[in-house]
Amino acid sequence: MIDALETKFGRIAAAGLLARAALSLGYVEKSEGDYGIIIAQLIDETRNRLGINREDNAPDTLSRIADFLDSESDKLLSPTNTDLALGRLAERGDLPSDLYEINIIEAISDTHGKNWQLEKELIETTIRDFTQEQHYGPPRKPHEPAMISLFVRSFRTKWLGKNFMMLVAARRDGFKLHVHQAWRIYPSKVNMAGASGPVGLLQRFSNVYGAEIEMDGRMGHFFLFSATPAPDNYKIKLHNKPRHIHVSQFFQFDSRGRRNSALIVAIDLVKYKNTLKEFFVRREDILEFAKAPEATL
Amino acid sequence: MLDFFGFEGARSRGEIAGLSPAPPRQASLIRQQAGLDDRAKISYFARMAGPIYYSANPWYAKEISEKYRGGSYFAWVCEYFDSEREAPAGSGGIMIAPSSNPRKIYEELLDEYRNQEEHSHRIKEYRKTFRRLAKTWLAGGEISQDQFDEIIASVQANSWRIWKPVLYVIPHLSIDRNRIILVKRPDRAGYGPEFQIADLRRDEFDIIDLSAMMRLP
Repeated sequence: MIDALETKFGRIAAAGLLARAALSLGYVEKSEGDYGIIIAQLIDETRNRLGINREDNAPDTLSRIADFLDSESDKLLSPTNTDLALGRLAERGDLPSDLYEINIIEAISDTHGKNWQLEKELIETTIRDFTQEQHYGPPRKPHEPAMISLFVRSFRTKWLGKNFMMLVAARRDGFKLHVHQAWRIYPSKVNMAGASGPVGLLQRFSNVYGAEIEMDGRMGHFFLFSATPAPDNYKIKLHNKPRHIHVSQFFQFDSRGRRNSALIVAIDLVKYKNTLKEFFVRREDILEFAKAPEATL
Repeated sequence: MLDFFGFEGARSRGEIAGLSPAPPRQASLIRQQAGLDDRAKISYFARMAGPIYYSANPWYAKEISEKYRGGSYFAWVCEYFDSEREAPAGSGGIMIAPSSNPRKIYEELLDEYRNQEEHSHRIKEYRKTFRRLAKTWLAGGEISQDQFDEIIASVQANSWRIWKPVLYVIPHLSIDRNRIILVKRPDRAGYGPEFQIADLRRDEFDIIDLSAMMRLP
């Protein structure tokens, strides 16, 4: 019966029947109709081949029968090209996030100085164990971000007022994630109510910590897209004091190879660092901070 | 013995929500309302089955439903989040097998996820089940060869994220009764009632991540 399945039903349908037979072993109640009869015959034949008594329904025995059916169905299907399949998932942003290799750009480590190690762990945990995610796929329409992933995770501390959300934005490049933005968002500073997804949160964050810059003739601190990339840094004078404005953006290329940028935020780093100092969250203050398990491809 | 007022229940719920147990004053109030004297021991909490079904699943089950099943979710559900502690004595709920208790499934899977338990029997079984399901969907023309390859590649890959548990919280009063299937006794691990809903839509339930509230091992 098992050997004749392919001739009778075709390769893929036969594999499906064997898989269905394996799944049916998890149920005492048997399938009805023609398929039910075929499945019963497949299981009987497997029992005969493995020398297993019909009355033996011990969990280990059923597991052996199911494994045999699995191996028979695997023989009927062409082997999966795992790299190709995972590559497609990565391109769309559907790859399980712990399978990406994480690379954090230097500008972020420079911002945090001696506190960098904790920030790095927070960023990696946010990516691998996010509570919200948002992905932009390959470029489809002009004037849209592409190949960018955003992740959000909340971190609780010993003090309710110091709880914060971590927002990470990264560019996908094959199985690599290049983190360009990572911000702590404290609810007492940033109104997050009603923000629509991670991009909405980034916009709310920039409403508080942003500094006005001009892009494509528009003034603002948050731009979803700009045909002309901004310089990385601006120096402005605020209340007659020099102020360093950091512009974070994702460079991308249009179909003609022209460089543009997406998810541009102009942040007043002094103001942001002052908030970090004000809350001064240490590693031991974070409750139940279990680093998310790390996977390797 | 009092089995419907909820002192211990407050404690068990408190553990989930990270709150402290109900204060002793609440216990005396319960005794007073129930007409019991001070010696009456409020030993456990129990309540009627509510209008919610619970189902603990690995995160990847949700992913498959969203990305490959057109937003149609399968859920094996229970009337109690923690049937062991919440179901009333004498009810069918108390006889739900521990292996079907959503809280227990959630906790065990979370533990295995956090500890990267490579010999986890449960994760091995999930892997096999997803592979088998993908084969039946491919055979039925419900997914393409590329989608099949993506499911197989994902469950074979060394990801832990996909096994992180999530809880489906399903208000069932608005769901047509014909869609809720009582699992027949031989297919249940215990006498307690368990149900299946094969075609849940995303707007019919919430998906909750309790990991931050569960104690670390």
